[in-house]
Amino acid sequence: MQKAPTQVKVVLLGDSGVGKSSLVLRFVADNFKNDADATIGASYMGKILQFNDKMIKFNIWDTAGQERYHSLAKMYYRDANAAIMVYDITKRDSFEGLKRWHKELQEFGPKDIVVTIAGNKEDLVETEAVPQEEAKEYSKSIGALYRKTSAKTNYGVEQVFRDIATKMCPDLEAQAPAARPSGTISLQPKPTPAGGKKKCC
Amino acid sequence: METPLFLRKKKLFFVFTSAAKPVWTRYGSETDLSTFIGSLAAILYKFQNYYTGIQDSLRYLRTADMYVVFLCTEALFYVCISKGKDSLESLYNQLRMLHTKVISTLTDNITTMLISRPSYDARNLMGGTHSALDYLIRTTAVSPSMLDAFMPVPMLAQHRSQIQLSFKSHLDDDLLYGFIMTSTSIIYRYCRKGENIHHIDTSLLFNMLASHSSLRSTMSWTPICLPNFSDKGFVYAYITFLQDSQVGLALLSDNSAAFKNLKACGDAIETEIRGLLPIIEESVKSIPYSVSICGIKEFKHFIYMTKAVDQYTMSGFTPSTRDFLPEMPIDIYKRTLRRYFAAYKLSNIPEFFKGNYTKIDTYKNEQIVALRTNEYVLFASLSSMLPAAAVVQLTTQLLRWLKSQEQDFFIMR
Ligand SMILES: Nc1nc2c(ncn2[C@@H]2O[C@H](COP(=O)(O)OP(=O)(O)O)[C@@H](O)[C@H]2O)c(=O)[nH]1
Ligand SMILES: [Mg+2]
Repeated sequence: MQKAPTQVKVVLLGDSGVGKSSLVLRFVADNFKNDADATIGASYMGKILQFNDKMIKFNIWDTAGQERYHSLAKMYYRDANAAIMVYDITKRDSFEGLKRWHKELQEFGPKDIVVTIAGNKEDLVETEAVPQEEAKEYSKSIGALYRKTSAKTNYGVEQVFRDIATKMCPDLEAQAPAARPSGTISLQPKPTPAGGKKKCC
Repeated sequence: METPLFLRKKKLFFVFTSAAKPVWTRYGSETDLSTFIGSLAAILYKFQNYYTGIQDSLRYLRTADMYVVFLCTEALFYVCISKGKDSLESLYNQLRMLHTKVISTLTDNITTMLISRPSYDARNLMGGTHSALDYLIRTTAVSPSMLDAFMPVPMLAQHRSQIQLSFKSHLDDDLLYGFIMTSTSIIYRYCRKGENIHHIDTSLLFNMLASHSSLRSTMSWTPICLPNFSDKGFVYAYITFLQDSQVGLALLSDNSAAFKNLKACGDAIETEIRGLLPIIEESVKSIPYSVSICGIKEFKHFIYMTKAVDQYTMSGFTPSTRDFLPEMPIDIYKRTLRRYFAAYKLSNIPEFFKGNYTKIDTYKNEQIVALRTNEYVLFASLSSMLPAAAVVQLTTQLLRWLKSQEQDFFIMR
């Protein structure tokens, strides 16, 4: 019998239109909409990923990022384990915006929160407006992970969440499934690496 | 000079601050329209100068084919330019609803804020609400707003009380209001004991659920200000859709930290009413229903509202089935609605309404019967050929039938 999954609360941050909701929809429901309607308030979705002998349930919160939803900030950030800060690689502004989001995160978020930066819309890489080096450098400077994603083509999406899990629980071997059987996630059980005694999560 | 594109539209709406800063416009970008909005504001001020000392402001201007209607609130100004045939009352109602929607989005704190900073750019604050405001305009244009009521979906009382039961057996202290609704109709409404819920607050929640498709793909926790509950702050709505359906469940709380509790409560209700899903979906499909269901072939249309509950029911303006009569196209319905408005307006005059009011208006193509008592309001449209005695007799018959159906038409307590 499996143990109950470990709960991980993840919040998404980033300017409106960068693809936060699309990333979540892709990750949770493997779906993408070209004409997604703007988020209203905060939305919640859950998804379980299987790692070797462990299950992790991601409780994912996504907001519209509008000023008027500020009253949600407290509950949004409370007890969050990880934050995904998203920018649109074709929009320089959205990258600059990350600084503001990071500031807010430091103000409201827990101290030990795991931060990942996702450069989304990788499928539009020809019109990339932010040099990858610069994005990586910025990520490093704030101690964040970095990954390029595309909610449209499903590039790197699940990996963002696996990165988070690995960072939080270093004894996990975060390996993406070799092939994705549609809808379900089944991972080949791998021998647990010896050593890693650190209590996970 | 060429007319700007937006001015060719039939019905324009503008929202701006006392410093003529645009907040929202239905067509065209606010930036392109800033000069036009500046002129509208100038007209308002000009007139205000004439009326110093009187607590009033410009209400409307009219030309042969156009109304320009103004609604001035403390800090926000609303203008509608209509080239349609809508009545003044209906246009005012639309402006009032727009204001209500703005408050519902930002709370009344926006008023305080704009009084101290009239040139504040409030457009961003309203970001993401365009489709909801537009939807509000479209729905209020065809609603019998004078009745101060909303229309639920007809459903067998026994089924509706099963939904009620599932709410009652999973109550949470944090639960203030609860709804089962789709983007076209309200199926059930719960209200915490000792509280009331206003029909406008109901419409606002309905507007939000109906106009944001993003709510459909996830579970949401969204602040919404319900001005009749309190315009000073938000209540919070937990919104989810029953699996693989268009049926939404909304649970509201005045506690911003109630998400977990309401989700648990919602999960329990959802499990319990899942079996009713086919019935709910069937009843949603039943509206708009044909006027013929009353079984009296002389009627072309009716609206019935009972004051015991703030709800009305009406036959469709484009019924899918037409057993007896040609369907009522939207334009004809709008004309009939204008006549209902006119009849109702008269009944509001105290000399006319002394607890009982009956009136038959004969037009070239229809007769409008208006009945108003302290218990109910009934409007109906019949052929213009019928003699008055027949109209009275048929109306009595219709009323008897409606009363017998109340339990299914309305969400009873
Ligand atoms: N080409 C492309 N478009 C995307 C991608 N992700 C999102 N979008 C589009 O970007 C727009 C905004 O996405 P949304 O998820 O609503 O952004 P949010 O405001 O950050 O939640 C939508 O029209 C999406 O279809 C992506 O990876 N590639
Ligand atoms: Mg979004």
